Amino acid sequence: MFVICSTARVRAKYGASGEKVLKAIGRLGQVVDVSGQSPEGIQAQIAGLQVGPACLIGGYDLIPPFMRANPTFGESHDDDKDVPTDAPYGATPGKPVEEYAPSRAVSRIPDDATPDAAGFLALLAHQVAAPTIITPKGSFEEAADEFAGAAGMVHGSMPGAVGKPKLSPPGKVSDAGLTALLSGKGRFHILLHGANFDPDWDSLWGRGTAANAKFIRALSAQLIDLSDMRGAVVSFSSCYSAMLDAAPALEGARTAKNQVALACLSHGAKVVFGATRSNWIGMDGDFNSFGPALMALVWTQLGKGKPAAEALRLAKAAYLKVALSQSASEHDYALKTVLQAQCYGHPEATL
Amino acid sequence: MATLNNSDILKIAREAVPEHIRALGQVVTSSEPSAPAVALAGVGPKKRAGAAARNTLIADLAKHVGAKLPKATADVTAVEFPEQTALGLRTTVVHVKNGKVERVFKRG
Repeated sequence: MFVICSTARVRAKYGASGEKVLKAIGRLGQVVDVSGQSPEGIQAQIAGLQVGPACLIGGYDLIPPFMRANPTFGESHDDDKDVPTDAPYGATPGKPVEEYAPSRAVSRIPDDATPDAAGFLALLAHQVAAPTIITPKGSFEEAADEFAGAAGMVHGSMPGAVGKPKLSPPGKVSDAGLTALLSGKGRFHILLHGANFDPDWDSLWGRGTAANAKFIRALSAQLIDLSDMRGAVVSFSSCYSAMLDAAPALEGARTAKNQVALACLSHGAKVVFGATRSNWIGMDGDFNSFGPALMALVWTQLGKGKPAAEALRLAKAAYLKVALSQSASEHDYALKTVLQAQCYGHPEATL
Repeated sequence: MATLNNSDILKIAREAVPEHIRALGQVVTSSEPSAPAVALAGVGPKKRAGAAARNTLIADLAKHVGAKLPKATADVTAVEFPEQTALGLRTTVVHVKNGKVERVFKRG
């Protein structure tokens, strides 16, 4: 595994703790220093490495994402103009198709969860151990009522899933027993609604099927903050679940206090899969389409023993093989689905 | 099969969505000769060039992943049900093809 790190930016960001942080990063694998490189330069450097997964170290201030035009911008009122994506880091320069179906597995270990070196060092300690930590038994699945079909479809692909997805329950930090439902579980799939504006982006939202049903705060970063997610594998089909950029932020950057993927990682999750922008969700038939279809395929690959980042890479190719064979009217939606799907955490973590 | 007009298509699409948004439906693309094809409105040379590049990408990507692109068939008509919610517009989309609902989807 190659650890892609701008050592200069790490030193500049963490000051006196910089060397300590770099030493912890070095425990993950072979460090490839990309200091001073543009995303295109980093992409070229990664492409020249031997076969193996690449793990980007840090948030967007340390390793910027590629920004790509949203293939469905303006379609059906999709207002996501751009899609931040790490996928091109797994592509051969000059081969656009590999940005959608990459040739190399890529993940990112963001350092945004806490604003200090101590927090990042704690997260790195979890991540160094991630490939050897056994995934706890049990599962937790939660969806908005209107997405029950898609959540059930993913449920069927999740090895070791127990029970059924919870549908649109209200979830307040003060609710007794709610953190116990999350804590100690090893498999998560969440298909709630998501927001891309603060302060509502700190939560994921349930919603019933009744006329004019209100959104219900169902799962929040604060709730995850109270939970023990050590060793868990987490997938989100929710909108904006892996969004790390903050504009137009009113209350500062994304951290574990207001971003669900970061909250999961900082509480011990081995790996988190999610989308940087809004996901399309199938509402009829076999529900096996768009974001949930991709996550179902990720679970299928994890069930075969594939490491996390490789599972996402294979799932993208498998999803596109089916989606591009279907109606041409859905092709742009398929492109967005794979472009925005990210893997956060140790690329070699397994189920 | 007789060609369906927008009114027929809208009726089919409405059956596929929850009752409370049925009145919001609007046909946004259509193969109906007399109907304005909103998705193509204003397409100039630059946009056509963009569409050509996109079609090339799709063809290359299909080859890359081993997908067999579908043959050109009857147009799909998209009907949208835009619902303003507390989280912004969450439009339910219904694709109708050959008089049948092909897909219903929305953003999460």
